[in-house]
Amino acid sequence: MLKLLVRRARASWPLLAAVVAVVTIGGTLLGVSARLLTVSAGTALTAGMSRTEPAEVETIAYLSDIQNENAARVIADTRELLKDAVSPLGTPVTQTRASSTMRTLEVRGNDSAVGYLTGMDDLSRAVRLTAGEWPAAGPVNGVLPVVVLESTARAMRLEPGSRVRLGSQSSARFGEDDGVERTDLLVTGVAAPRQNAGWDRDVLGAEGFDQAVAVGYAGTAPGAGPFLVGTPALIGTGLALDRIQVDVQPALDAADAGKLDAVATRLATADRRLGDRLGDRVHQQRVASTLLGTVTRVYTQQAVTRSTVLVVMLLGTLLTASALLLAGRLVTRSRAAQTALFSAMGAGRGQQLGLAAGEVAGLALIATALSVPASSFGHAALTRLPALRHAGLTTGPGVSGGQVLVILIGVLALSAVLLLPALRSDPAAQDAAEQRGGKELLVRSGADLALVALAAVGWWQLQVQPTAQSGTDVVRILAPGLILLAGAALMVRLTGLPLGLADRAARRSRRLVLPLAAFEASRRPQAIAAALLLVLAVASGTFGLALAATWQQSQVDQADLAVGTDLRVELAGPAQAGQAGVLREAVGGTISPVLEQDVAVGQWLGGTGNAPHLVALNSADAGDLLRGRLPEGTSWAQIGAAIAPGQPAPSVALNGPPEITGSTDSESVLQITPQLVLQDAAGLRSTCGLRPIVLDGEPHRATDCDTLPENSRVVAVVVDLAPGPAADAENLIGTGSVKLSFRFPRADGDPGRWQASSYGRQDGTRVLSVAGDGAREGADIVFHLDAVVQLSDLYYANGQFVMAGFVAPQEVPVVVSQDFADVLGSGPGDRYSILINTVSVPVKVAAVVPDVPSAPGRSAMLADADLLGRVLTAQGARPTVGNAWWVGHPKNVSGAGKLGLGEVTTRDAEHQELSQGPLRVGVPAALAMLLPAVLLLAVGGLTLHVVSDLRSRAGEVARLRSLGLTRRTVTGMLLAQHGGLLVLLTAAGTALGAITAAVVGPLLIRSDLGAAPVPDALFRWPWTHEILLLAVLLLTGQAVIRVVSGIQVRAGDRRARG
Amino acid sequence: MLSIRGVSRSYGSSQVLHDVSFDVAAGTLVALVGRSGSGKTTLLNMVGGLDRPDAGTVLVDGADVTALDEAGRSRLRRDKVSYVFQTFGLVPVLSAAENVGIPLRMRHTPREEREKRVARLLDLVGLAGHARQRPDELSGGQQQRVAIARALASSPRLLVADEPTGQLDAETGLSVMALLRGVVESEGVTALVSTHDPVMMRLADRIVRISDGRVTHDEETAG
Repeated sequence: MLKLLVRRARASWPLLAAVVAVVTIGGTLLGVSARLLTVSAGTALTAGMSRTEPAEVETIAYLSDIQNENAARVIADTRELLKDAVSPLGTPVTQTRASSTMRTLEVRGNDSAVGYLTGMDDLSRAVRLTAGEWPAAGPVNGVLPVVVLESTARAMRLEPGSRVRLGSQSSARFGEDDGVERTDLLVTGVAAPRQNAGWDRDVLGAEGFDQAVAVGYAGTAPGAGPFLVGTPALIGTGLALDRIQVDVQPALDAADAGKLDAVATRLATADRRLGDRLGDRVHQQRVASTLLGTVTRVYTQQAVTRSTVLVVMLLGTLLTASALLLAGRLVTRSRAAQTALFSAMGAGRGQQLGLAAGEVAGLALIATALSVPASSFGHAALTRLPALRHAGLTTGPGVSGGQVLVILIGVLALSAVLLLPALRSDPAAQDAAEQRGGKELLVRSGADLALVALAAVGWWQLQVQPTAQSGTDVVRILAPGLILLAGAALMVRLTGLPLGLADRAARRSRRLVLPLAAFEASRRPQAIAAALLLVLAVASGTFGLALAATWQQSQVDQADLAVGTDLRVELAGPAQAGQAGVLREAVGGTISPVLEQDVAVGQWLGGTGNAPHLVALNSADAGDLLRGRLPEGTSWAQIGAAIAPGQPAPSVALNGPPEITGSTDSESVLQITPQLVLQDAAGLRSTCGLRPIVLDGEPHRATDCDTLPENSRVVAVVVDLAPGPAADAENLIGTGSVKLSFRFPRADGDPGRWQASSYGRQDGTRVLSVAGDGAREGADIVFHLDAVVQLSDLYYANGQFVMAGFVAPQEVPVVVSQDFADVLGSGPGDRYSILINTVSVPVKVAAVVPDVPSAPGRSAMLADADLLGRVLTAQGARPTVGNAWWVGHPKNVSGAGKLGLGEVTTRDAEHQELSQGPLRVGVPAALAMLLPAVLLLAVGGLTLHVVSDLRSRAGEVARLRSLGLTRRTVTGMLLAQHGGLLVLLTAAGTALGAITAAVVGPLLIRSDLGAAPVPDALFRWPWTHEILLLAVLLLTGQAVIRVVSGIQVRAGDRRARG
Repeated sequence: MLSIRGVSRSYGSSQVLHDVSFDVAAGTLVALVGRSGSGKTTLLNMVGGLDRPDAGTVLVDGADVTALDEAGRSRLRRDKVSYVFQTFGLVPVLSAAENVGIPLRMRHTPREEREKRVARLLDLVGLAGHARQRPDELSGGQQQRVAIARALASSPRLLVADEPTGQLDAETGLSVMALLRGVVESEGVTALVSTHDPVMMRLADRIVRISDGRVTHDEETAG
């Protein structure tokens, strides 16, 4: 039998070589996919984890209320436990941040404020020194050197060399007092907070100063801090500790699934174990880790990528199977005479099948032997593509057990397809029956219908499946293949319609060549397998290209919306005046300060992970700043216009220290503490506090704001009225009038619209009346404020006034996201109240957009920073609106990172990460892998079919030549027939691929969290790539047909001669 | 009508035809007889311009076939010389009528005229009721009749038939030969038919025997 097999193989080696080539292509595709799913997935996991931000993988133990004498041991125990928890990943890095309890703070003899010390293991990781020097490790001559934040220094007017003193605890927690009455501090440096350094866990959130920090049970006082020292220095002070946070960053250079799973297991019990270990040495403890969530997200991303690779594997397998079905038919047909002879010689059907099975097994082994190295080198080549190389996924050729197993099983299964035609008793006769109808046609119709039904179920399942799903999604893997296969079967059937029309036209024609080509194309039965292969291949290629384009566009859309603008700088603390100028010089473009924070809407705090989110910016620049897809016909400029203030807030230039004069008819000494509300060129609002000024009728030059950046303009003056330091409470009776004037030298601007008001809980009692105006006096602008106050109330609370050129809007117009509108059932015109830093701000919905930039899929609202600032200012709240800078159309993106202002994110970088990050790049890589397979199998299948067809028609060609057709005419007829079919089937495949990609493609795309992307993926048609694919396919196909036809016609001539 | 003068042809070292010469008068049916491999098919190919002699000339209706280029030879087969093959040479995807219509389509004959002529020819060969049937639905004899009708469709001056009854049983073969005899008389064509069937030979006007590439016998028959 072996001898017979060898001889038979020798006799038909070109056909069998083609079969081996087809099986090898399929096997290689499976092998490359297997390596993508194993080797590349592992590398991607390691690379993906190593690229995570510290905040995404940190594990933090929060401890509160620790007696000083226990602090060192508590910190050591906590570190040890956390390090052990993440030790499977390697040696971690730990960082400790501890803060003292809030203490009275004495600055320049004034002890009305409170402050706190914070100790850190490594100050340089948390702050960037901007002035002075780092502090010594411990006290020098009984004075502890400290560093303060810029905002603290500005608010408290501190600088290197300043001395302050911390006193006793402002309120003893849980009845325990550490007994430390005095800690002298020397400011050695001023620093700016670094991004991602745990400042969100700071007592004052890195803002450095707060006008009203809770003190005791009901009172408030101005709070400043932190005063930064090393952790040992903090513990050395003997101060009780309000909180300790121990942060552990795992080593992620060599993370793999096993190690991550081990860490996850240990972290799951870390909280309980820490409680057991620390006992009552701490009041409360909690271990929180973002690592577990990140690992889950990474696994989800892997599953999403895996699904796409499996889709490609399935399509490749279907294509290979189709090609082999065709090859099997051709092999069987070419051996029809041999089979008949064997039958005549008495060979049973089982014996013939055994012979065929032996041959198939041999071919499968050869194909496996070829596929293993081919897939190893193919995978290695694939990982050298620029995208994969940049993602760190480049690997050399190698062989794994899984890869060999997948190839072997796949190749054997695929090769078995070759046996299917051999199972048929008389392929030629059945081909004829297929063409004319009968049982075979009915069987095929049944198979077609079953496929279409399955495809419909797949599509339905895709439509109704949950938006978020982890793990490998079977529906998402099977549905595209099923739909394409069913569609291809349907398309092949449908191509009968135009061919039938061509046949009818041919019958009416008086010519020969094209009609004969049409007859041949429409009536030849054996083209079905080839047609199925060609339609499926073109459809798969088109589907792959369109899916890749849709996927890429979705990543762009997701990146646009996630970042919200072209470039954003997230600050660790509030935006500072002057940063905009620095940023503009470095990157150029349109710059706006932006406030991004979660807010409460009335009583509604949102769901878990979806707190209502506010984004406030310069709405006038919305068109330049905002990114994210809007409904057609709408632009961000239009949206910005809907929430923009009618007029900019009136302002006056600050061209020198203002001169402030105040007087009162009260017998008691009164003083005011003014704050200038400033606005820089970028629209950032900030305050500059002036020293208290006694109302003595004398003019006072306030020089505290001399160092502000140029172009700062005053948009409001906020005044606190209080009894003077030596005020006698007994004289604070009855009412008193207060007259204030603020003179701004050489100021421009229109003072005519300025007026005065009071704010806060005045209830018409503390401030009985207030009036004010502005006027130009020579080159200066002077504002006057007259008020009548209830003097006795000033003993309990300050009188509060605002002088400004605007009236706070009754409502701030906002644009809300669709999610916000859906949850609250709101629409344009609806009114809400949002809570910003304890200030209630009324808002009115002006419009609804699908998503608010930077808050994809969230309940969010977009507001104008100016209008929001006016409301805050009018209520006496800190008007600073901005914890980030957004830049539209930057000219030098790289310049932002060097400034060290905060974490820089760009739309392009986000898109790069989403589309070419190690955990994501497998998607385009797999789709790219599909193309060569499609082209090879389609052209290979076409070649097999044309060669076989023309061989079987050699006699017919010879007879046509004998009838007087020239060689050129016969060649033209063959070209017209096969070329026409190629074009028709290619068009059918293109239509099928496009329809499938349009209907199914967007449903297949998932975000990096495994959920439906936000915004929704929109079908995108890749004109250029599609045209290239079709051009390559058609030109190659036509070339094959031309060459084979030419050869065949010449062979026909030889045959005609006998 | 046909004049073959000194035609020789060899393939490699094998000399297939040696200085073959004979003439065929118009309106006669000439049987070219000889054993397999004697050179009959090669000689017929020379006549239709499917092959070229190494030496000698072939004149069909006064035109030197050996001097014609590829297009000229195709034109010759289209206009003057028609073939009938042992294997019928029908296009399997076409019906009997469509097969017969091929030569007429080559001349761009209008559809109505083509259909009329096809119908007449099918009637002539006794297959008027089989016009829509495809070759695999016809018997061998019927297929050969279709092939003869197709050969006559272009109104050729010379009909070349290569073993037209080779794949038919004796009775069918005889009827096909009789048909050929009939169309020679009714259509006025000249026919050169290769055969080795003695029964068929009797229907010919003349027998030219060829052996090892040489004309060994040339005689007119009685009937």
